[in-house]
Amino acid sequence: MTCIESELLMGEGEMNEALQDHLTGCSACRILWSELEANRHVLRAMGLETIPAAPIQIHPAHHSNATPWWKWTSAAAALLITLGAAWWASRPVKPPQIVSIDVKVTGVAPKAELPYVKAEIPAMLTPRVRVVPVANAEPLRVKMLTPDPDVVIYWLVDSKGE
Amino acid sequence: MKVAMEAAAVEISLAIGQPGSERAFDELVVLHQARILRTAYRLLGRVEDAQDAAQEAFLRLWKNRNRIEGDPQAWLYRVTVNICNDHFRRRTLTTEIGEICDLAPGPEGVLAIEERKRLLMDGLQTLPERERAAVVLRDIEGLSTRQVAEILEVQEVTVRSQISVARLKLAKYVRRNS
Repeated sequence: MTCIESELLMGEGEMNEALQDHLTGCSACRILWSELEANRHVLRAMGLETIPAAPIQIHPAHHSNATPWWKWTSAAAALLITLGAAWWASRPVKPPQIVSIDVKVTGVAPKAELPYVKAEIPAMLTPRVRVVPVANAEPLRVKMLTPDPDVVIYWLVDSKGE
Repeated sequence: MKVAMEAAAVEISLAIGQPGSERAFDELVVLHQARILRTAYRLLGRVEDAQDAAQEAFLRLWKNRNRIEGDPQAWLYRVTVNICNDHFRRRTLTTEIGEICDLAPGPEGVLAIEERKRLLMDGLQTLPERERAAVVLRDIEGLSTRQVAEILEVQEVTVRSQISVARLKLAKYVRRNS
């Protein structure tokens, strides 16, 4: 066995007959072996020592999982804003309002009770053409169209112009 | 005693991820802090640095408590070794050389235990980080080769080789400096 081979075995801490024979005849390897053994014992003893140091203290802040107040406050505000915006964007379009008026007819007022107010037509609006009354003529029917196609207004004007 | 401690560690570690786990975590710190601190000290060579490293390791344990299953000892060792390696790399070379040169030569023959210890501590700082971690975990902490391989995430045969080389380097360092 060579010194290099014996070194490898000694490094691994193994002792066998071949190594023992080599050590008997090689003083350098014998010294190395005794160094290794002495080191092994001291290293082991070092493993039993307690290092004089202050006990480990993990800061209470690290213990706590609580998120800082400003984080959850910001998160809540952001969530509220997002939800509000989402609601505003997704709200249904307001349909055209249909107003229905129920008219309850309670009776017919006699004609005599209704006040009759004759409107005076301003002179500037008086037609310049002469109106020739036509006897037994059908009342004039004026059809007025409104923007709503369902609503049509009829004006019926009799021969007296009323 | 060791078996009882390991069982206790598993029991505590199971409670870590649960509500009200602060107390379980504190117990875990008490259970492991001595060996984590010792490992960090052997890897770094300074008590102050070791304390910082151990503190950092436990802080990481707390942050990752929900992801660790079973006994967190191996995880703690792995994180400690990584933290110490990072710390070691940041050190300036000047400081290391200065410390080594401060050593007084020992008497001839068998070295006093304390002096050998000091030489070994300094010798450890001269090793490559993988070899240093392997020899600290195997020879100082007394872990098995398989455990060391798991912690360092390498093959067992690699650990054996690293430890063997590291021991020889340490022996030569002690001889050269005594």
